[in-house]
Amino acid sequence: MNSIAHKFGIKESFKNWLQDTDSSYAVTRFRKVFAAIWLTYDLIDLTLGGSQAPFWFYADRTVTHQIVACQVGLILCELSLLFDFKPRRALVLAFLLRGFEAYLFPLNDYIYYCVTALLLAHFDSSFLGKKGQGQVWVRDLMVWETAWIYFSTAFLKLNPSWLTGGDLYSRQMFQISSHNWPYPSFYKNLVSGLPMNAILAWMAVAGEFSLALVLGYWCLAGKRKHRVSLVAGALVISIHGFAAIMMNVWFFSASMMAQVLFLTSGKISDENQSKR
Amino acid sequence: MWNRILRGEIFNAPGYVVALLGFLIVLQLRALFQQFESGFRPFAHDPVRVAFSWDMFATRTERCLMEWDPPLESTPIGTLSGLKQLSLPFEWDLIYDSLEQYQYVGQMGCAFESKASNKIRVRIQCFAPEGEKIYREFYCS
Repeated sequence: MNSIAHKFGIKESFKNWLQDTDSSYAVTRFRKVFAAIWLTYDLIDLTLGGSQAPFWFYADRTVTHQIVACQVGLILCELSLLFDFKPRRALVLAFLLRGFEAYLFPLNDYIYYCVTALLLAHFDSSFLGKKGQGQVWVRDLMVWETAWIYFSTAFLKLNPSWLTGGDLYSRQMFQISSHNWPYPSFYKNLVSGLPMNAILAWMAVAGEFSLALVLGYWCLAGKRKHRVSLVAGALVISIHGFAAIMMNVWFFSASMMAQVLFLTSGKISDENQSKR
Repeated sequence: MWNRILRGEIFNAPGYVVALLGFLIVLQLRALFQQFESGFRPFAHDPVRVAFSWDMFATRTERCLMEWDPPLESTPIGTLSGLKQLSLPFEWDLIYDSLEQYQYVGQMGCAFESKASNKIRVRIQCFAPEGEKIYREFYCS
């Protein structure tokens, strides 16, 4: 096994990959946008008590106090990230605090935050003498992770409730009835039955599978192809633009959009590529 | 060793990166296998909620409106007329996944009213993935 790896130069390529630095600032820019998005989320949540609401029937307020403490901690971490003050430590702490929130509410949004914070915490190549830059492998791993998220969610959507349009029906009708959501009247009519919702559901699955494929291609061969980034950008904006406006999922959507747009669009330096 | 950790150098060591990759792969593949163990079959059976399987919007969901009539007066947060009162118009909705869960929460609200609670009516209106509206009404007991 060892000799096969040696023969094909896998070990050497792997070591080079770990030493490559990313001079594009794509990850550091994304890190700031990520911090800004979730800082806004946590500030609104803390002020208006969104995450405390499910505990309305608890006479003992310990859990809500724990949530508040968690949110204050997260806000400080995100401010620290925003101002580039000890970003790695801030990310590790944010990972732990959001992890606690995810333990209370196992929401995909929070689990995604934890995975992203964990990966971002690895991004720093100051020990290689290159301050302000990070390792290429962290950026690649983040794009692979994003591709997996889209593949997995699209694969799990291959189920009767989603594909018949039923899930979109119940969610959108709830938006209309509960919040009087400002859908245009023609759209309200269209989504009050299953057929149009089924079309939207199939389009979403196709979009997510395509995005997973495009992100995988970006990692393998498309880093220098501007068109690949453009297609990924168009897909992520379509998918999450719909999720935000029609389904009331704003912050996770904004974060995923930023992740794809920033991580796939930065320039890849020639110096790094020539090593391989 | 400690110097390498503090400088962040250890997090770039091949062994560490392989371990991190392995951890992420095992964690997420295990979550996907758990979906199959829980009965998920493509095109045949819905998945359930499993952390790290990325099941957003993929699980079966019934969304409901629920209110107490007249409003509950003795809850830990004061008067409560319905779940809408606890939701924000933007992003934060107090929602559950099934009619049964809403019924359970409705009964839980009833438990705060000791006086004449059998006069309080719980109204639930649900939107089911079958494209149907379901109405449930019961008195607190």
